[in-house]
Amino acid sequence: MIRYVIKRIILMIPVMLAVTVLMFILSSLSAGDSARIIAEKTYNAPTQEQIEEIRHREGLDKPLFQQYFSWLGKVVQGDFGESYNTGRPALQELQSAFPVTLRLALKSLVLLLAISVPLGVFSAVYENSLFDKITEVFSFLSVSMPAFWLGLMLLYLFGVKLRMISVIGGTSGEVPLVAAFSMDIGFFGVVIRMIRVSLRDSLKQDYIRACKAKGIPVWKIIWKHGMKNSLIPVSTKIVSIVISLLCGSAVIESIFSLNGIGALALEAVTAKDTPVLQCFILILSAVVVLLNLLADISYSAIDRRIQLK
Amino acid sequence: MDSMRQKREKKAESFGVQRFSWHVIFRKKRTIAGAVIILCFVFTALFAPVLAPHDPLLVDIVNKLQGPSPAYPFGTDQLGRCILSRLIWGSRYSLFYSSLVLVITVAVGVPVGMLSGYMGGKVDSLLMRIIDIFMALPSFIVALAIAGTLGASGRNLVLAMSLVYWADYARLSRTLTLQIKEQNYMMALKASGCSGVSIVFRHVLKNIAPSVVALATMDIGTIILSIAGFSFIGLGVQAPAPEWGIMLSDSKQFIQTCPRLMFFPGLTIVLIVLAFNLLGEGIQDENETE
Repeated sequence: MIRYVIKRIILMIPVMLAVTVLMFILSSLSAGDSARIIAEKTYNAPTQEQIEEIRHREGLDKPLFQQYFSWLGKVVQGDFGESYNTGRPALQELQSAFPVTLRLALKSLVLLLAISVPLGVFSAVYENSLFDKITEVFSFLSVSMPAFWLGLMLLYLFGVKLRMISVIGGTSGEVPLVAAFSMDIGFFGVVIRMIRVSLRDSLKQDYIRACKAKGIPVWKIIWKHGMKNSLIPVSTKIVSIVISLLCGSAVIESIFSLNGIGALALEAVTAKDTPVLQCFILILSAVVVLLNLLADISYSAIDRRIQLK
Repeated sequence: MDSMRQKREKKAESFGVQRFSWHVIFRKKRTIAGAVIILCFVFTALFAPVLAPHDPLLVDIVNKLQGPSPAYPFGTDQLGRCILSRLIWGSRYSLFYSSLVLVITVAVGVPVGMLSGYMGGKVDSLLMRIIDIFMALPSFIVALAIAGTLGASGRNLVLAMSLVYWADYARLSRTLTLQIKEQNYMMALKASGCSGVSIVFRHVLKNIAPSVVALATMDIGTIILSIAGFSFIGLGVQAPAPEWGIMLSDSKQFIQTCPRLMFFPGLTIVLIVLAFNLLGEGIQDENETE
C-alpha cells in the first residue's frame, strides 16, 4: 500500500513536468509579447527602448530552454511571477480567490448528495412506480439542461423578482444556494441513476432475500445491507465530481458574480495575464492529479477486495 | 461542463461489441421524437439563409429590444438584431462545431485505440499512459490553456475539446479490440495470411464501429452543451457571431430590463440537447436489451 502510494507520487513528476513544458511552449507561442504587456503597465506609452530594457530585465531575451529552467526553478518554489493586472504575486491572487470556489464546490456537493441520494434510493426501492418515473424524467432533463441557462433563470427569479440574492454579487464571499444548485444540475441525473441502478442490483442479491426471510425490517435491510454495497461505486465517483466542481466553477461564478478562481482565470485570459493563467493551470492540474490518486487509494480502502499494484 | 465525464466513462465501460438494427432502435416513440427534432435542426442549419427572415448580424438600433411582432416573431435584441434569425443561424455553429469535434476525436481516438489494443506490449502501455493523462484533464483547464495562449475562437475551442475527447474513444476502441482479438475468426484471419493493417482497419474496425457510433450519439449532446457553455464564458466562438451561448451571455446585462432575451436561446439549447440524448438513450437501450 505505502509502496504503491510512493510509486504513484513518483509517477506524478513526469506528468507534471510534461504539463509545465506544454504550458511554457504554448505561452511562448502565444501572440502576446510579454515584455510589451509589462511595459504598457509600467509606462503610459512605452518606447521601443523601454520595452527592450524590460525584456532584458525580465530575462525574456535569453534562449527558450534557459527561460524555461529559470521559470521552472521559481515555480517549484511557488513563485509564478506577479500578475500583470494587479502587480500582486500570482499565487497570492489564486489563494485569495480560492475560498469562494471551495465554498461553492462544497455547498454544491452537499446539495447534490442531499437531493440525489434519497431520490436514487426511493426510485430503486419503488422500482417502476410513479415516483421512479418522475425521477427518471427529472434525471433526463437535468443532463440536458445547460447550467448557465438555469443559473441565469434562477438569478432572474431570485435576484430580480424575489430580490433574495444580489444580482451584481457581493463582496462578502457568500455563495447563494441557487448558485450551488445550478452548478449541480448536470450531475443530478448521473448520480441518481448510479445509485438507483447499483442499489436495485444489490437488492436482488440472495443475501437480501435471506435478510427478508429472517424478518429484518425493510428499512434496515435497505440501509445496512443494500446501501453499504451500492455506495461503493458512488463514493469513488465523488472525487471525480469534486474535481469537476472545482474546475468547472467559472460559468457559475461569472453568472452570480462570485470572485472565485474560475472567474479569476477567465479574467486572466481576457487581460492576457500569463502569470495568473499559468499559476491557475499548474496548481489545478496538480490538484487534479493528486485527487485522482486519492480516488484510487480510497477505492481500495473501501473495498478490500480491490488490490493496488 | 465536466459533469458528463463520469457518465461517459460509465458508458464506455458498459458498451460491449454490438451491432445495430435500426428498426429495433426506433421502436420507442421518444427515440423517434429525438430523431425528428434533430432532423428539423439539421434542416434549419442547411437552409438558414432561406428560413431566416432577417440578416442575423444586421444592427438596427432604432428597433432595439422590441417585443414579438409579425416582422420579428421572437423580438429583437439590444442592437435591434432579429432574435429568430440569430437562433436559426446559430444552429449552424452548434451542429457544425460539434460534428467537427466528433469527426476529429473519432479519427484520432479510434486508430490509436485499435493500435494500442492490437499491438499490446510496450506500445500499449505507453499509449495507455498518455490516454490516462488526457482522461484526467478537466475540459475547462484545457480550454482555458488553449484560449489563453492561442486566443479564444471557435476553431481553438474545437481543438481544445478534441484534445479532451479523443482519449475516451481511444480507450473504448482499445477495450473492444482486446475483446475481438480473442475471437476465433481473428485466428483464422491470421492463419489465412491477412496482414495486420488489413485485420485492424477492415475486420476490427467493422466490429467496433457500432459501439463507437453509439458513444458518439450519446456524446453530441454534451459537446453541444460545452460549446455553448465555453462561448458563454468567452472561451469559444466570439461575438457578434449568432451563437446561442453568446446570445445568452449578451442577455445577462439585460436581466433586469429585458429578461425576455435569455429565454429563447436557452430553450433552443435544451431542445437540441434533449433530442440528442433521447436518440442516444434509444441506441443504448437497444444495446442493453441484447
